[in-house]
Amino acid sequence: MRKTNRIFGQFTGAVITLTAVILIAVIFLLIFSPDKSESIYYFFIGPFLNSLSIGNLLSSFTLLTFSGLAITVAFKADVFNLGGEGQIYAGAIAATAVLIYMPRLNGISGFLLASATAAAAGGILAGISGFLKTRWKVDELISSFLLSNAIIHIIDYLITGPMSDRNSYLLTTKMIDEKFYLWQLIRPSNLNSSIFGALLAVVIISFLLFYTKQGYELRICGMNREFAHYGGLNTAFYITVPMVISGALLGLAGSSAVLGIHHATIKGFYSGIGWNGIAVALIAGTNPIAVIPSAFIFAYLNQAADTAMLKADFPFELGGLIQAIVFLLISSKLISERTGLKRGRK
Amino acid sequence: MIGKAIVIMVPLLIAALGGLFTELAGVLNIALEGLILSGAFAAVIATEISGSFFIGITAAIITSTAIAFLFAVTSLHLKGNIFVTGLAINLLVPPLTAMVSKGLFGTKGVIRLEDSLGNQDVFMTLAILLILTFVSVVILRYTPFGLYIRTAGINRDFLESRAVSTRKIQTFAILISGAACGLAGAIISLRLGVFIPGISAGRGWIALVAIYLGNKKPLPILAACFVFAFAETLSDSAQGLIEIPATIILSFPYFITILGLILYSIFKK
Repeated sequence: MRKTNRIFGQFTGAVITLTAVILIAVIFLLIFSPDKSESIYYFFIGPFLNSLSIGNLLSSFTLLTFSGLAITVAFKADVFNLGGEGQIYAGAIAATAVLIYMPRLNGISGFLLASATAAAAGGILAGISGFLKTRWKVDELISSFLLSNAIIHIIDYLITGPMSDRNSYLLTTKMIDEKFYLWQLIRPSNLNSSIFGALLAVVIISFLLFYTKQGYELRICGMNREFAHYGGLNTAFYITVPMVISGALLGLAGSSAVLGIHHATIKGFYSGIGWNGIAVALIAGTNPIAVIPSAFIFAYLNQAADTAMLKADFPFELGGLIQAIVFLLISSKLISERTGLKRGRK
Repeated sequence: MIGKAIVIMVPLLIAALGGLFTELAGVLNIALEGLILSGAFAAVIATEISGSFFIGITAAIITSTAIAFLFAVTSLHLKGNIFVTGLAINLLVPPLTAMVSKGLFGTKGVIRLEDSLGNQDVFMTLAILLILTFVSVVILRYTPFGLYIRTAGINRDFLESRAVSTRKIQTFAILISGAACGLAGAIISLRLGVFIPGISAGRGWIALVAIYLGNKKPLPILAACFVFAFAETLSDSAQGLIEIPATIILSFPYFITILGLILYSIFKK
């Protein structure tokens, strides 16, 4: 009985937040859009109009599943990973570097090595914050954010400097070889085979969390670290490891964007994946399976905002606004105390 | 060079002192960054429209205080998670500024004023910095309001037992930090006479770390802000001496801040 209540509570919380978000978006469209009916139409129907937009919706779903899952793992252990953008970027540049500087790899080994390097790059970056937390009690939410911002500038330098493609009009690295491209599923949209990778990641993470001893211990640490400590668990381990897994998943989001969509690292491509990952995780309420519908809704909202803005010449950054409103509302008491985030920090 | 550091540290110190009020009141204020950005934006817009720096600065303070109020309502009254709502403020401001500037000027990017405040006299600036620090010391130490704020952060039940609403005190603290960040943002943008998206460039976070490094006391915070400002000046002039690409220089404040944070955590014990 209590269990159904809890799930129901979580569910209503998410529904209320999302309804509020859509309402606010519509109000914004009604107030500011020059052509009201057209922009409303495109906001709701736009993402499903043709195979191109459906494909792009699913492609953005793929990336958000990776990043939402990454943040969920951290939340589950009650640690915060605010460095999503930097970790995605690091994963992307690592994967790109592997494929550019080792062009003789074949398709499969290139894919495997690039993904592994990307996961390692993101994992190490996030792991540093976990280590700093366990070693010197440096707050991981601040350190992960600062590290991510520092590394973003370094990667910007790599993209515009040593690794740049001087023939491109975009700020981007050189393109990777065509044999490393992931399969396009719906041409000409961005959708590619990494969507299966994202779904597989959800299954693997859920299995690890709910069907292994380590997953159980991680969840105990997330629920009550002191209790876990007195129970004899290595609580420091369950700060660093969730951070590393979280960073690795974000790194994979970066490499899947490189191998599947851009085929290079484009400057600033991470925007909209990193922070949205947190929003996805908040809506999913620390439940890894719920990341799938949550990521889908967010992909839809972003796509809807994009098409409405493009088609109706709507000048406003609806996507960013939607994200901010979710953050403002999701953890509030009005909506639910049960979203899984237990407390504010001091 | 020290003079230059003093000029740079003005907005940093003002934001940090504002953030000190929230920190002492037991509110984790990661919204400083967004509050500074909104102040910087409002200052340029209002100055452009009115032609007066004074109105620009006033508008900045009002705008940032209003946004701080939104932060206070969602985190204290609606009892949101303070970390998530703070993040929300930081994420809310950039699209809002882009919207308003697109609506008013038809551009999402740089807004340039004809005039700028420019660099003020270093000794004047130094005097103002010392006065501000002194004023916050006095308020926090010797007024009932300061006492309430400090108590709110230490023992809220005690405050409630004295029939003082912790929530009200914390709301005030957040509004003060909003006003301070508005002023800080106005100084940043008006000194250059330009608004660029992302002009706050991590200063809110640096201010937050300066509060920790300064052990939540005004004078050490002054020192910490000076160290950060001096480091920024150093990295600026390093650019002239050695060939360091400009994009890499942009990462220095973050590295320095995290280094500061680590050192603080090591020596705290």
